[in-house]
Amino acid sequence: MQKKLVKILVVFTGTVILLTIISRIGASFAVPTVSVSKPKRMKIVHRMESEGEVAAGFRRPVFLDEGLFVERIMALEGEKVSEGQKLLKLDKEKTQKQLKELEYEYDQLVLQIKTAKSEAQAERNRHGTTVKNSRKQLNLALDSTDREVKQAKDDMKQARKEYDKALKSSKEKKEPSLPNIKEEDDVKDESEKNPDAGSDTGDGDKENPVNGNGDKENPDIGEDSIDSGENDLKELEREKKEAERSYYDTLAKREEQVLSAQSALEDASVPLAVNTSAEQLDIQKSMAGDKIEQIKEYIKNGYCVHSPVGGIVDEVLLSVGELSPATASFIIADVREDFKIVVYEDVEKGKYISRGTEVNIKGRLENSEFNEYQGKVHSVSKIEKEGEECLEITVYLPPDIFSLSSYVSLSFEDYSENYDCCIPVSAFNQDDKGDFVYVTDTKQTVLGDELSARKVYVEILDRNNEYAAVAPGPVTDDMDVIITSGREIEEGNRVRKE
Amino acid sequence: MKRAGKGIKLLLILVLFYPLLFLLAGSLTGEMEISEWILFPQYPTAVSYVELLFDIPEFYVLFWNSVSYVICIIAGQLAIAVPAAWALTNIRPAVRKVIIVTDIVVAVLPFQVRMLPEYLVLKDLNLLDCPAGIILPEVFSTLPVLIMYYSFSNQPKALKESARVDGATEFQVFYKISLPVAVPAIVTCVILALLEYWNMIEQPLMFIKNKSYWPLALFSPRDAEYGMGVVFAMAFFLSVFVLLIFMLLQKYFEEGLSTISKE
Repeated sequence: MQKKLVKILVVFTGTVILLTIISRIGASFAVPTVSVSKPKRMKIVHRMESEGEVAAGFRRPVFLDEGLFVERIMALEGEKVSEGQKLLKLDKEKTQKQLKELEYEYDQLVLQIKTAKSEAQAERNRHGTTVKNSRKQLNLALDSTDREVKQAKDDMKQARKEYDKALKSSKEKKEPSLPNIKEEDDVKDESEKNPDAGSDTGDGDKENPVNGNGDKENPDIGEDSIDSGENDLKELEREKKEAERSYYDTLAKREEQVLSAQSALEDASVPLAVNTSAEQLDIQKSMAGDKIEQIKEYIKNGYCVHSPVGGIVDEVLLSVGELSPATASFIIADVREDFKIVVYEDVEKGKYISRGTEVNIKGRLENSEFNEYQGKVHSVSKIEKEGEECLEITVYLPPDIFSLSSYVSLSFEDYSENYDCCIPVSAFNQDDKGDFVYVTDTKQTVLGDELSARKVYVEILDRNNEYAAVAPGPVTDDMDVIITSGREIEEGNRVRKE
Repeated sequence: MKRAGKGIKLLLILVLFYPLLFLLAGSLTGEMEISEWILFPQYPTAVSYVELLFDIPEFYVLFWNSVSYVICIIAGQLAIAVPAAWALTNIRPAVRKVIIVTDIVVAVLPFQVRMLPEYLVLKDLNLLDCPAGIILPEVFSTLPVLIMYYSFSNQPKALKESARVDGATEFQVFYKISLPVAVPAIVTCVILALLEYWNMIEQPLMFIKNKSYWPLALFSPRDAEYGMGVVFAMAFFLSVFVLLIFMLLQKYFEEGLSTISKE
């Protein structure tokens, strides 16, 4: 029994030792191994790699007259040309033919200009005559209507006078005192001046007992003489009214005729439209003349076109057997000026690049010798290329560093300000609340001093591919920030350093 | 009458073993049922044992801390108490009496009384927060001295006298005659020390802050971290361990108690 108990105790102790070992091994496997780093004070370098072609900084276009037949191109792309060197040769026969056509066209234009000018002169003369006639018509209308009005007025005055005379004698026969005729004369004079007022006065006659029913008020006068006098008076009154109507009609007619004549004069006085056809033809003639001169110049040079400047032929924009275009035919790169490299980059990728950003350029010279140049960005502009927004980055460099049209690699480096707290980007994680890092906290546990992970939310101020700068505060420079972990970790997890 | 006696015995055994049964039941109960405090779980599970034995390395740290403390304290006590007790048997009776009374007084003082002076002494000696701060005060316990004294003094005087007559030196008398005879008393000291120091709580809580020096008795309050099932499993596991040792040394313990109580 004693031996059995000893055995059991030995087995028990042995088992506990074994389980202790297993448990420790298991624990060491369960705890993720992490690498840590302390935050650093540093500048964040934004580096961007790109490639570009070395091009001439200044490119001069060479224009030819449109429609010239190219027989031979004498300068190829990339070829160095000097000032006055032949660039191409034109077809002799076709150029001659084109010259003749142009001269014919020139002559035609001269004739057309002559015709256009004489037509314009005739038009101007016609216009002047029409205005003159209209004015004459107006004067005639004024004269004739004035005469008619004067005649009508005289007639009207005569009729009134006769009527007044008859009226006076008739009243004298009836009774010595009669209503004030002077008043009536005044009214009549007023109506003469104002036709509207005159008509009112006429109406008022009917209400006037003197003019209409005076005999009822004078019953003592003889019946026969009174009847004959009344008839004469009525006749004279009718004649007077007729004369007045005729006068007013004449006035209206005069007004109408004068207005009509004035309107005709105004129509005739409208200035003629500017006729520029002659000028346009003149311009065409001038252009044709220039073209003729230019072709004559080519002919004089043996049907050859010469380079206006020295440089390298950057682009040839025409082909043999075709007609010269209206646009530039050659682009000559001026090698006396700086070369340039234009790089197109994604807006997001190049957001840190600005004018003055340092750029390291590596490439080869014409003899394949490796060369390097440290320059600065000249300009950065946002453009649209193939439907997408991108950055056009231009760098200028001296002409003798890389050969023209060679491809070079560019490394842009933009240095930020000094940040107090920079952490490797591999340390960052993200959740709903934002960016965070894990830092290690030392805890005293049964197993000794152990490290545990603690989540610290940070605000990223700046970053590149290696480091990110965070706002100071949550993370201090004495903290150990977990950069990498062998396993996914969570808040409070035990960890151990590599 | 005999049947009734057997029944009472069985009942007493059940009452005595109830705590152990309760621990066993609790350790085999799942987390869902454990709050109901039932003796027979509906769905017994050994998950608490698996978790305790394989997933909690802290348990073994505390276990081996307790083993270390107990071994060191017992070894220290025996190294001090046995020679001290032998010396007591050979000094003048008057002095011996004073020392024994003093020992008894110190032995019966509870820890709460000794706590503050011990703390101050340990602080002056820079022994706070280290294992020596637990071990050293207990090494100089007076109870084993008393036990060993009574064991040595109860040995037959003729035995020692005959050895001396045969020419044995005083050390030979102690080492070869008295010590082998006092083995049951030594085992008694060991068992009493084991039971006391295996379960000590106050001393480590007072003198040790570093958790890696804690004994296993302080594992229990950590149930919130590991769950009640694990704590039950740990308690049962330890009970079995202590029970095994006790059963192993039971024969010597009984002999030791009888030799001490002869006088």
